[in-house]
Amino acid sequence: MVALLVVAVALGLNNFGAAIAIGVSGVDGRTEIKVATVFGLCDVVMPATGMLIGTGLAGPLGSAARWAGAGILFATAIWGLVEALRGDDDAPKVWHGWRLLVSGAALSLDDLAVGLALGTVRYPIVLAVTLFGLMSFVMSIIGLKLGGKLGKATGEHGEVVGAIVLIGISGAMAAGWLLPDSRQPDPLVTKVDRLSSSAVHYLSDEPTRSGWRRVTVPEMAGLDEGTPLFAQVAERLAGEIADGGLAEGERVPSTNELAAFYRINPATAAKGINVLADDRLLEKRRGIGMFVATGARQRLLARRRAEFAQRYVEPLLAEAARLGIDTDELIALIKESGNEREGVSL
Amino acid sequence: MTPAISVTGLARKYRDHTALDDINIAVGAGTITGLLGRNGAGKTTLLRILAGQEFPSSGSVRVLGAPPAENEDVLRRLVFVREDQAYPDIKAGQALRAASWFYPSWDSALASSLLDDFGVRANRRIKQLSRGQRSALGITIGLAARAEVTLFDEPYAGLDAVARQIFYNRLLADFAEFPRTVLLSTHLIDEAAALFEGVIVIDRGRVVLDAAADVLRGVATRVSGPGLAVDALAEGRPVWERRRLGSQASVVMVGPLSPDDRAQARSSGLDLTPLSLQQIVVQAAAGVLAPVPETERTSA
Repeated sequence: MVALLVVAVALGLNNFGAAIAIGVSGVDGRTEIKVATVFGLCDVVMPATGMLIGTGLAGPLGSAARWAGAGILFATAIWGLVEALRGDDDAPKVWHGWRLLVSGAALSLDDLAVGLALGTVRYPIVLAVTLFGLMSFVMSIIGLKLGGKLGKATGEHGEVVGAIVLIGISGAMAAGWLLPDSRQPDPLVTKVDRLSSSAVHYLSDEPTRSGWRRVTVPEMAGLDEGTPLFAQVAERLAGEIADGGLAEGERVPSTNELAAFYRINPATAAKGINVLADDRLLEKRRGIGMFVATGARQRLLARRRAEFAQRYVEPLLAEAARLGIDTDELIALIKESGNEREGVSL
Repeated sequence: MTPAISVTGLARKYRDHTALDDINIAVGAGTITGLLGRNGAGKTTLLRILAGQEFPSSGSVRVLGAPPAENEDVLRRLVFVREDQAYPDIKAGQALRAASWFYPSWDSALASSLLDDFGVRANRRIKQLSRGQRSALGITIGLAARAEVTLFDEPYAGLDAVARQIFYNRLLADFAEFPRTVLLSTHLIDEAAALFEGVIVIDRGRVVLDAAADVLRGVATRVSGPGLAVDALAEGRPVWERRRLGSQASVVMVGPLSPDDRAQARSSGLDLTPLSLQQIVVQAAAGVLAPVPETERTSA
């Protein structure tokens, strides 16, 4: 709550300054209320708008808003100055209508990006915005009264002085002095600026999404889900070495090349390579990469031969037993397919 | 190695609802981790807290060594791409330019080539983009920011399969060149599984699984075949799920199978199918991670 108050004061500060300027130019009681109300409302509307636009881009946009606000304020000040110097009898009216609205909006433009951060994150929005508005209103009234006192001292030149003060404020605003996102600010105020990117309230879940969606497009260049991918990568490389596709002394694809080819995490690919390196099938040449070690192919082939019985013969025998094919018949079958195969290859 | 993200005892409670409860995770620097879980499990809340956009009710959160909330130094090194990011009424190219002011390592060449790949024209107003193209814009910002910590929360609403593949490919390619810490929440586990080095599964606000992806693959095997043979192999072993149909049975056995197990399975005509990462995650999120006693779930 205290933090929120401090933010409200920070946001009302520029309105306070502007109110002094307007007060100096001399306004009556009704106008005072009108000015303070407009300033207060602007500080309600702008942060609320900021929230609705709300985006992670609030940071960058915040500084754009700052420059725009300063520019508009500068323009209204010049407008006031010109009218004051012209010595128009209608001069007191300048703080009515459009000019008032425009300055109010300009002063609050920064709040667009900055204002609501705390409110949306920690506090109810309505409370935060109301507090900003009230604070702005109160500070504007104080500013106007103060300006009025000063105005009596400056006499007829009040309006000119007011306009010049307003130009000063627009300058300060551009420089970021009056705003929570200036460069060396009060730490509490900085967090407001940073948090503004969190003033994002946009929670909508895709209505069609219910539970898990199964999509079968794993683009993994032939690897299958279900067995550790690194083991499959190692297996593939070992297969290539055994088949002679990767000759001894040849460079093995790098981690990133493998990751890109199989579309897998580079760390997974690295783990696959390491399995073979630990097995001394690959050797590292510092700064160049991994190479197929000497004798790797022979060792792999020997290992495969050792596994042949377990991997192929045993299942064959098990299935044959289920079907009632005895060993002699099985041998005959094998010979038969062997002959066919040779015939084809000739 | 200090983790890029470390969370201890984190809880986030709303008035009558506990979104996150006693979350303890550590995400190593330079890894891609999948944040998985069902709708409403608490993934987005966790990511928002990591991105400093929400406050924990209790517990400690450290991103790049410091609490992220209100921490300019951390937040500039972090990018958070949310599902359905809202943008002001500007053009796509302007959104990229605005993002480039904010992120110190921004690569604008990468940004425009990504936008090209996704077929989004920079001079189109964001309002006029399709849902998928808006997602593509978010992804572009997330990748081109090259932030040390990159958080993607279901970043691809409305993206077609081709565009999602582009996302995976470009993420991997850029990650290989510029390693960073990526946390990606997604429902499309099968698709994205190969990207992940680690997997964190959240269910009803709690972490139910936190492991290396490749350890999980092969951690469980579906064994199916003649009921007696299945029972013989699975006897006394942890099992997730049992089904029986006539004399046929099927169980999911937890834990790696030894060569002896495999030999026994082969000789008794059993089928062994390893569970994919997605299937394991589904089990985890369904709360079936604890082994099922033999008396339960005998029929399915």
